[in-house]
Amino acid sequence: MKNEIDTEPGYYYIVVHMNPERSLGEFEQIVLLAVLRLGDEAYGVTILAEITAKTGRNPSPGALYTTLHRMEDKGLVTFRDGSPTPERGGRAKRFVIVTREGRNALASAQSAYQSLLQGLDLLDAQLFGGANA
Amino acid sequence: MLESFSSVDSSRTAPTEWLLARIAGPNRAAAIMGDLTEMAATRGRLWFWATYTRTLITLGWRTPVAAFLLAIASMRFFVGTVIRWLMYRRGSHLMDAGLFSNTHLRLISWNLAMLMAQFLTFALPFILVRFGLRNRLTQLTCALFLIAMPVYSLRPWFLDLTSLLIVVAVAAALALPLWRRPLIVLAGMGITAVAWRVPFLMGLARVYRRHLPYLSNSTVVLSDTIAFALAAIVCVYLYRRLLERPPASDRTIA
Repeated sequence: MKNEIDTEPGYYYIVVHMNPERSLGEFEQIVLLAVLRLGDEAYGVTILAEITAKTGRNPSPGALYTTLHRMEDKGLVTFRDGSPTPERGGRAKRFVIVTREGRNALASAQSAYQSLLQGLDLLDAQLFGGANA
Repeated sequence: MLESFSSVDSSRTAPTEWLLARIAGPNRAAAIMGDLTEMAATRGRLWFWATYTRTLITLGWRTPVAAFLLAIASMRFFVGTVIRWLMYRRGSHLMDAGLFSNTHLRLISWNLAMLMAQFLTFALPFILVRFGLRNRLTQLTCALFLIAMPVYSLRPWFLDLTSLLIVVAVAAALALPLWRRPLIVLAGMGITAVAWRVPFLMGLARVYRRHLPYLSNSTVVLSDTIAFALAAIVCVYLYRRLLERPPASDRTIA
């Protein structure tokens, strides 16, 4: 959705509204970031482990699968089947791949956070025990 | 430990995987069962079954069948307790004077308002479970539900005002592009439910033709269930056609 707010030739601006239906929830962002960090090794077990290791949260597998399926339906992630392994009862791993749309949505959400954080010294305050707060 | 769990449970998980596949599809179900089996090697059987059950509920409760069953149950509870209590308690006020002096107009408007309220007692839980609270269709249904509920007070003024408010709300939703499609989905669902509700239609017809037979309670329940099942199917179909977003590949990012 675009609105031209200044139509003078050569000097016009386009205002782009962020589609609220495209915006990502917090857990969706966490999952996408974990998948990107893991690269080719991102599947259910490793994603859960990565989220636990990096955030201290312990999400349930059901919550992860619901989120992954929702993001698959939105076109934000896609899947690639691995080879069956005995420790999985002969079932193949289903590796997660972040699509271009997923990367764009994540970048958009993160840039919104960065814009809001600019000028605030929240991270410094947390890292240095509030010395700069 | 790792091998013993997977080897022992590979045959036992077949029915569980089948059940999961009914909800999530075969590919997703196989991957989920594989993940759970792999993690259970270090966490044990109890963890496996507890997590499997939670996953099944998490993935399954928004399916059309689960939403339908929950909606039917909540509607039966609502009609059987709240509405029955109100009807017995407030029934004596029914023929007091109201806004509309014309009896036929009142009869029609009351019946339509009552019909809508009754339909919404099913539609709201179904849509809420199926699509979630943040959905526009749910929000519209919620608003209409709140507007329509005063009809069960059975006070003529409330009935008249509610009928009027329903007409205004529907007209407003139809006029606003943002709410038009959700209203069409809800209307399609409602028309299907009413069209198939033979007992209700016979009840209306009995006002004018008293010789029509009364139906047994079981016939009414069966007819209602079929009507609402068809309404749920129409709702899901119309939602996909009118409200579901196109795949991401068809959309551009500005």
